[in-house]
Amino acid sequence: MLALLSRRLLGLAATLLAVAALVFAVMSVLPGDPAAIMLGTSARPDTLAALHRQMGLDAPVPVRFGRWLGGALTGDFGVSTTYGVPVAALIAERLAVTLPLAFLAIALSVAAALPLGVLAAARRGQAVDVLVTALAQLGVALPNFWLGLLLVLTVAVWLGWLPAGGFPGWAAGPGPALAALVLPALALALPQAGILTRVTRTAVLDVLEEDFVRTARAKGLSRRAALWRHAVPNALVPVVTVLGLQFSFLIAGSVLVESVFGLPGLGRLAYQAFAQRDLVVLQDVVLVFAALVIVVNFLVDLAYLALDPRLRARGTA
Amino acid sequence: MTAGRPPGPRLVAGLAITAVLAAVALVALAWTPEPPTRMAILFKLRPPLAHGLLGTDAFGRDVLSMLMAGARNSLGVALAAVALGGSAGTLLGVGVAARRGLVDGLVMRGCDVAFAFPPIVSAMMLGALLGPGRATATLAIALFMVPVFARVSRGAALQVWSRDYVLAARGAGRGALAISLDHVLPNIAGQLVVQATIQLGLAVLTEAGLSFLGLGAPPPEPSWGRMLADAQTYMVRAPWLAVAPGATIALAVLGFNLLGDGLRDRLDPRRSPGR
Repeated sequence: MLALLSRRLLGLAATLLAVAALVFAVMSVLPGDPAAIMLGTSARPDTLAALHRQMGLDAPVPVRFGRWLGGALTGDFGVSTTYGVPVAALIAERLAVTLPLAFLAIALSVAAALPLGVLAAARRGQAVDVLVTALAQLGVALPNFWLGLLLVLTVAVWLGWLPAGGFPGWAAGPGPALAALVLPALALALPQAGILTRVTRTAVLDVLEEDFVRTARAKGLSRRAALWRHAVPNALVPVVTVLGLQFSFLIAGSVLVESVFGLPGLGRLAYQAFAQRDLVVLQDVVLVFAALVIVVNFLVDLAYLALDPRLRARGTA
Repeated sequence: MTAGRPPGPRLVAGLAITAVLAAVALVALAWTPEPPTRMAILFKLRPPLAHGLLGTDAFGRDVLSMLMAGARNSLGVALAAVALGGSAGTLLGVGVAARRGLVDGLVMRGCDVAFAFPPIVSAMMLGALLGPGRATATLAIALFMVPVFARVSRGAALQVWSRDYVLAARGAGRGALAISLDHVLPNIAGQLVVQATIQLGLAVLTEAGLSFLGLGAPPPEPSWGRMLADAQTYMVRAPWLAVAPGATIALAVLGFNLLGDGLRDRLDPRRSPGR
């Protein structure tokens, strides 16, 4: 078990290193001088040279990569050219919005999808199943930023139940902060719930058709017991897998939804960095995004071991 | 194999929706009710039916015409991205399935890395360096499709490689390239078509998101995503502006998803329909 875990951790480190190398390569090898892009076309040569020195662009590529990676590992992401503050502080501040938003969205989508998916599978072919399946299919197709706009219009503007956008900060207390996150989380969660409902339904149906469940049923196990004792626990493995894979879409969605609701999250920071050509911030935020996706999928891999004893016993998963 | 089985409701619905949208995009190449970029400030922010079928936007442009012209852009980018990423990914997947070994491992790890970059994130990175636009959006979406198709085609190709008739072909001295072309590709084509259809839905959704952020086709060219971004400004005064583009995006995605599911039910007889 320990050997397995250390092998996995080594793999994780290698993947993260590859991700960092890729981000760096794209930002520094692609045509285009970051300093020139940041200063615009009318920059004077001496200003450009000064920014080159300040950004360390005069050093050879491997040295720059080493500096950047070393800095990132020790929490020093450099200084933002537009904000004039350490990027690490900026990222930490924005993560305090994006991570709670992502977790709230995951919690909402799981809370809706698991019961609906199990219900649809248990009532396969009946009206409830048809309705749930149709709703899920529709949910998957809805753009989250459009849902966001519609929620702002109906719940915030017309009904006035929740704030239409902005974020009061956690210092204002968990109540107002959470209230500001509910609509964006709903917009992110609904399409995710559509996908998860379909996966849950299929996974439960698959387990119900497996030989061991048929045998148990033939030996007199009730349909209800088969569902809850066998089908639902076993169906969790594919559900968790999809949840991990969907995290990357959740990250992408956060860029859009934070933009709709004017939330000061990491996605909005990335977009602002792009719009203001702050390549230092953009490069760091892209790295954080990619690392988050990789780490979440690593945790999902570990979750398999907890959920599926067969994988643990085999030790090769 | 599947002849004689009536097409399922999802296949029919998916075909109908995508056919209508494709037809609209084609018609928009030659005709729209009004020129989609023509401004008529006097008639700005008219509600549906008051001026044109779907009303006008803040510049007095005809919403229906913009939606039609937008179909051309949105579907065009999605198709190009899936074609590009799908071909590259399939080439990689089929290639490493034939070679196996170290290259296979490296390419698959590479796919893990590529998966960590959602198209919106890579579009911002590429857009900052190459400038935003239709080509950048297409490239960003295509880059995300490469690992998707590499994994699907590799998995499917490995199954074909283990079949008896492929073993026989190898025994007869046929090379990896010939076997890949003659046996592997034809046998996995069905799965690839299903995958491409489903990914088209995702590509439409992603393109809309990119245009919403201003990372897609530049103005004044209409795109569904930017119509929504513009609508956000006039949300309270003219809420209808946000309804039509969003519903059109959802309809397009729904159409491709239904078509993909329907095709999968039909091409894979082992799968019971509706799963």
